[in-house]
Amino acid sequence: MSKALYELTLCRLRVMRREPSALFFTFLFPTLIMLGVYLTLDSNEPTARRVAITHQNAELLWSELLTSHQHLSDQHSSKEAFFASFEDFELIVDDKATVHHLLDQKKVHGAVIIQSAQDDAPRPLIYALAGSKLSDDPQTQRQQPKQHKKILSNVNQEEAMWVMASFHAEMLHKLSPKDSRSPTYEFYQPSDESQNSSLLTEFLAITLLTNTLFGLGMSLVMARREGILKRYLTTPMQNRDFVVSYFLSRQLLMVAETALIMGLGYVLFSFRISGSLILFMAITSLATFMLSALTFTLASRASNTSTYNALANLCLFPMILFSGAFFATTDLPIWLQKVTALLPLTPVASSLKAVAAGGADLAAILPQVGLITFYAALFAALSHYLFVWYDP
Amino acid sequence: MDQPLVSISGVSKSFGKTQALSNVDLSLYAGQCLVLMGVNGAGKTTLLHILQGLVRPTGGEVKLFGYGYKTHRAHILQRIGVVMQETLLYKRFTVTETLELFASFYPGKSSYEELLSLLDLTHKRHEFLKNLSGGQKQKLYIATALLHQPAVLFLDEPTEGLDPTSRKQIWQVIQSFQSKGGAVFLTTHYLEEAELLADHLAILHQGKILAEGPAADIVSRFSPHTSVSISLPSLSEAEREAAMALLQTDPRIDSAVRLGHQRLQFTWQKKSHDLSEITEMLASKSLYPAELSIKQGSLDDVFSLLTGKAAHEQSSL
Repeated sequence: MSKALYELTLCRLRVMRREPSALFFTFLFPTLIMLGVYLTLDSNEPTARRVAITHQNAELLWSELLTSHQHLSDQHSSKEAFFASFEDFELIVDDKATVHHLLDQKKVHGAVIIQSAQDDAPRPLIYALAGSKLSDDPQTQRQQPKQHKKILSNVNQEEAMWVMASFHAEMLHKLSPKDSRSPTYEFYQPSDESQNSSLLTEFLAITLLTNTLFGLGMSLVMARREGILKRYLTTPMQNRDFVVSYFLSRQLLMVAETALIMGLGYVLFSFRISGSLILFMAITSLATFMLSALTFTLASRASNTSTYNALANLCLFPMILFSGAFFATTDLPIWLQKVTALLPLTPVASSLKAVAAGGADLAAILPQVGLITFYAALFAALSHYLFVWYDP
Repeated sequence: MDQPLVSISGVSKSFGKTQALSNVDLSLYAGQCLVLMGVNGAGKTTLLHILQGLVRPTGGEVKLFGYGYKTHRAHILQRIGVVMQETLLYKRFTVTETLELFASFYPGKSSYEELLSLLDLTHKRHEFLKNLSGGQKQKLYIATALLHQPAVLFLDEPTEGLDPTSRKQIWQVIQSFQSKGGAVFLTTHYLEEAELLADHLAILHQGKILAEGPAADIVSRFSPHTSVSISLPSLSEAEREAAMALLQTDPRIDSAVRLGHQRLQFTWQKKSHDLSEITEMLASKSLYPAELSIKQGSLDDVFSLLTGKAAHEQSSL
């Protein structure tokens, strides 16, 4: 590393460290958001989890469940009343194809697919009807959370489906008390998984975007406006060193920001990366590079912060809005889904999510990585062509 | 004479339809201070930007140390120091950090201890820029331009808006740099500064050099008048009044006024202050002063005359 590159990178980090607003938005603001989300979730009453059960004859099973429910409490006779009796989750019984479609559309949080019955298998005991009973079976207890609330607020799909499987076993047992056979269960989850992981990775992608666009971009525009870039041009400083220092400092800050979000995610939401940590960080690094290049493009000609602000916000809002963090893009019209899939942040969020929640490897996320790389090259070329060091 | 360190030959620059510079020729030699004067918009900063490699001229050629920016950019930039008028460096950087940053751009090791001492900034070395006064900041900017020991220093209005003490300190630094063989190219609005520092003065107006040369030569060449003061103690009051009337009727005299009882003062239109010519004129009017003093027009007068005349010619076209 050249002396100039070292000093310029150090300069960027110093500027950042000594600017109270930069520190606030880079570190404190994400922390506050995450704490806010944590407190909101923790203080909320458990929300209903929607879980599906597939059965080859869904209608029959449904009527059996209703009958069984009447048998259990003898207070409800309608489908609505049946739902109402389950404070903690909603149950959908349907055929396999419909349930798969619901899973793909993220309309259900998980599914229990009943494959077949197996002779002489130990029968799971009742876990919950409205989440009130705990199993007295030691083996089952190990798989259940100690606190019922945790299941519901912590959005653990596997646990929720275990509840459903237990419930189904109970239904079968009630319906056919003499039948000693127990079914086997296949727990099924949407491919891009756990809502916490999904939320956190989307939050990370959005944080990287906003911190790069505003942290890097504003500093670049201010340096141009105050004549610092022009002053640099009258020295033998290599332009390359200047640009690399911006990218490098952003990468270093990205590591700190990612560590903060992941660390807080681990502490508050038990967030874990189920895939490769190296792959996760490599995507984060590539995304930061691409976003830095985008920032250089947007800031390439802006002579004041107001102009840059307008440009950055124009670029920022569609990317955040359609990133999938606020609503499922699958609810959008097909043509709009295709457009949103091409926004630069979308492949970042989806690939991070796939690695963190689904344990995807590089081959599985190659299309997203390719798109990010394409954007990185495109923005780097554009900024190289458009960038001016000072207002003539 | 040695080769000039900076050579400007027939340089022109236009921005669209606006002609910022027109056929400018100037040279700067080692140990010399060239002061470029001009009103706002005269083209001073454009010329400086061309000399600093920021802007390419539309026509003509600029050479520094015998080379052009196109082929020897890095070589030239290593040997020049620049102080810009409008630059603001990082306000949350200390004096030392700012100098270390700029020092990293130049090959070799730079020492700034002597510079800090010379600029009276040693006690401020750990201070953030935002806590420095305007004069201290300007001195720091000069330090960033000098820390690699350049051969040529470009200063764009370096004492603009500073207090008299800071201005004097900056002049001392410039003179010290010059005394070590450094060449200075400076733009200023201040006539006092130009007269003090300039070995070679150039007046730029609407992109054209109107006059150049040593300041005294320019004043001598372009001074619009000579102020003459005479003492006539032997004359009566009536005779002095008559003498006044005679002077006021002479077409070579712009104005004549009484200074006290015995003295008369008049402005002699001629640029030359040839004593015999003046005494002949007085003798022709039978005036034989006991004392006569001549004062040449100032640089201010010359500057106003040249720029005003050029503006008038421009508007009458």
